[in-house]
Amino acid sequence: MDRFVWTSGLLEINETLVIQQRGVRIYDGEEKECCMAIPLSQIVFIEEQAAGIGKSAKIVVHLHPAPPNKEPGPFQSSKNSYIKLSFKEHGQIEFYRRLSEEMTQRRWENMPVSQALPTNRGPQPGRIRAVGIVGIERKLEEKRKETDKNISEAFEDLSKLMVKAKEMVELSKSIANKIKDKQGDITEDETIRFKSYLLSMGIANPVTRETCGSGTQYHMQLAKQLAGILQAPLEERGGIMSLTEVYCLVNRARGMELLSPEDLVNACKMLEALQLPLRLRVFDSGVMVIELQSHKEEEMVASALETVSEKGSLTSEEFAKLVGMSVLLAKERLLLAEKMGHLCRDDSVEGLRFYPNLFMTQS
Amino acid sequence: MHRRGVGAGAIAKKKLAEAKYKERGTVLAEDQLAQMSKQLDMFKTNLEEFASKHKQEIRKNPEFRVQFQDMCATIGVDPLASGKGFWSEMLGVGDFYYELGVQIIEVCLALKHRNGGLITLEELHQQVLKGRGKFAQDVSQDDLIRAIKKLKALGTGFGIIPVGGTYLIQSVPAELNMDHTVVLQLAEKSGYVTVSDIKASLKWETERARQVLEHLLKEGLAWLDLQAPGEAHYWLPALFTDLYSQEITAEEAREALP
Repeated sequence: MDRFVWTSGLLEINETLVIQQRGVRIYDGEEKECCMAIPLSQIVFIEEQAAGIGKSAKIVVHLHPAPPNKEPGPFQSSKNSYIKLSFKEHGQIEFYRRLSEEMTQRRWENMPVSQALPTNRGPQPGRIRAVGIVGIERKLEEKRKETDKNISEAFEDLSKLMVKAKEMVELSKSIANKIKDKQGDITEDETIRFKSYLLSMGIANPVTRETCGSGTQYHMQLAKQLAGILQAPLEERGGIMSLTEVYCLVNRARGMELLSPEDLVNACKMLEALQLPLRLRVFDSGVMVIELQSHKEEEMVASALETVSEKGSLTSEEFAKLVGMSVLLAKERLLLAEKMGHLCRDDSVEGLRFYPNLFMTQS
Repeated sequence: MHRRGVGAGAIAKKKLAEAKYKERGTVLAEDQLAQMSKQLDMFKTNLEEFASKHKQEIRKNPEFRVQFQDMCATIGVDPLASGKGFWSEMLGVGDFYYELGVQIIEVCLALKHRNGGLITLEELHQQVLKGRGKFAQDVSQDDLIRAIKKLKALGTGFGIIPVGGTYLIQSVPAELNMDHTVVLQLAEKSGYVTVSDIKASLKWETERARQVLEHLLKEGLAWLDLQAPGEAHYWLPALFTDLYSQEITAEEAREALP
């Protein structure tokens, strides 16, 4: 592949970094090879090659023939007029997108010509065309038509579907208005049915503005399931876990048919009402946690005070490390202790540090 | 028709008419509910048909995913609201985004000690791809943004801050107001910012600039460099790009030192 030139790898003047992607292997035609550069102006056309079993996604880059006064590179001549970039560690979608954008914008045509690399101003009429360019362009046309056809069919079908979905949205709004006005003329059963319809369609409950509206059958069942799944993990972690931890734990365990964040929150909101042994708690800061009913955070504060007193003073990180809990929850515990008047804060550039509140104890 | 005078009889008749209207109103709502139930079943069938033809398209084509999401948003439907929704169940979009959410949380947690809970979308993208492995499906930056928007429901401070042409993703509940984000945007070009930079570009007084920088320091989002030429530099690890930093192993670091 003779279009390459050696380069230092650093940006020259007038060069900007558009996108970087690790793990890209470069093929000369079909041959595998291995810091080399090709000016974008040398590119005629790029196309994607989807990943297959055992094969990574690739971008095929078709090139102009090498100009006669090109700088030295790894090869003097090549029989191929294209290279392939093989994305061993993914990133092909973004790379292709940015490369296509650059091909459309052709920013290099507006820049002052740097002496070393010659710029081609696209295919010039009358110039000797390399063998295969005409074939490439024809293939390009065909492929474009084919893709367009697939996309437009999918898009058409999608649009039809959306029209029907929109009818459902309008209908649900109308029903919600009626429910609001009547205030009790609709049976509880019917309200529950309505909420489950909204859940299926992904329509926000027009009355409460919450998507799927809390309190559907689904969420009730989910709440009961969660109580079962989370009992042991909670005990291992001192009776309290942040909702993000719960989200990861539950979904990793499920593997399939995962819960949406909203599903989780809506289910947790019902824990207390269903008298399950866990509850959802929201701290002042907005952090949401699940606690065992038996867990009394206020009691934990007393032991936190002891720990802080022993050490004189502690930051959230230090406290977290000592006690063996996450920094997020450690901070919440210390803030709660402060709120209850047991701790004082020292807020400086060096961080937030907590001291026992001597104003209270030594009066 | 006779015009009846105002009187007890007229009032009673009016009440009867109102009751009849009310009755019909209730029946209408029930009718609509029944109608919705039927339409829902039909819709489910249509969606199944759509899925059988185009499910792959959504899975493989990120532009199509974007169009799909935009169309849903336009009509007031959130396909990612619940794993139990039709969209999620039949098109499989749910699992794709919810799993991505888990991966995003894990990456942010792993890197928090380094960047304080602030990371560029680019770096997040690279790390997530690395974590997903070679055989998993590719994801776009738009996919990440959508997953993050959903994660906000979990209440632990996920935020998306526009800077330069890209975004910073915040994953800890640090309070960042407009002043803070504007300074982050200023720092984006070079990875650091100074009090003079802020005063020159934003025309703030020294005190305001200092307060913002101190807050970023406190939250662990900025590092103070007192050895920089001129005045103190405030570096933002979240903005370090591969141009400035490299992942090196402990051995390499030891070898590099004199």
